Amino acid sequence: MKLLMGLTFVGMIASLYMAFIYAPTEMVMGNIQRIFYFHMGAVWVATIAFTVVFIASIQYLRKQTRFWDIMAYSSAEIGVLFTTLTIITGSIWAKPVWGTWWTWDPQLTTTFILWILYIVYLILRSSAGSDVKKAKFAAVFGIIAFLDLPLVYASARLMRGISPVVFGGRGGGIAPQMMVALLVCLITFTLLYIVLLKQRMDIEEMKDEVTRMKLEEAL
Amino acid sequence: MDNLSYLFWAHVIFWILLFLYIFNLVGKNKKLQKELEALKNSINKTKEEKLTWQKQGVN
Repeated sequence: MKLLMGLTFVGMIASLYMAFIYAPTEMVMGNIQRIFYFHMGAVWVATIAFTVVFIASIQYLRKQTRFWDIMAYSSAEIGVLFTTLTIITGSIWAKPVWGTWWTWDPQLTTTFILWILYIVYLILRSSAGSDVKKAKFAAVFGIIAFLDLPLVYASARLMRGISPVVFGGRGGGIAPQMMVALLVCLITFTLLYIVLLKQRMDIEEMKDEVTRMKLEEAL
Repeated sequence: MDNLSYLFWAHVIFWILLFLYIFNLVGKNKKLQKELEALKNSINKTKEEKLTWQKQGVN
């Protein structure tokens, strides 16, 4: 785990170097485009996190083991954090480029809905505590909420919005140096997600251990 | 605001939120570790006391 933390730290330094120095300045947007590397990193982590919530929730309903429940809950928390970062950085980018902090573009709207859905999931799951029935209900909600994620990606490609499409579709692609910088950021953010998930799951496991030991002490 | 100040503030907010979350996780982790240690000591102490009583009862 310490090795992974070290790699993440080195990766973050490398990502900052790639985003600010290595990547060329975009001709139309200028330096503001450099937000894009960390914005995409946040989008990437949120996508992985909510996919993990979806898989872990299915596994929890199938196997009913606490491990999957903890994984889904922990991953959702990280997903909400990174969706918040996505919305904030996207908004700051939009102001000088679009002239507005926010617009109800299809991709922005579906992202906003996704954010709200997982906040509701977190509220549901945290109120469930050790109640298995409520935890199962939260798992079902986590699975249904995931259905919005493909819509976020599809909305930029299928609907007529103003959000830029970087990969495929009607997107014009990016310069090779920008792509390298982006890949370094995405790898680093994946490592960061793994570190955060492990730390968050450890906390839930310790909470369970404290509850178990308190019971043991009381007997 | 020019483009660079937007870039600056985007990174300031990004890093502050990320570090707040990480410090929150580290804080919770330390608190729980201390609680677990205290509970382990308390349980061990109770077990030792029970053993002493049992020995005294036998004698």
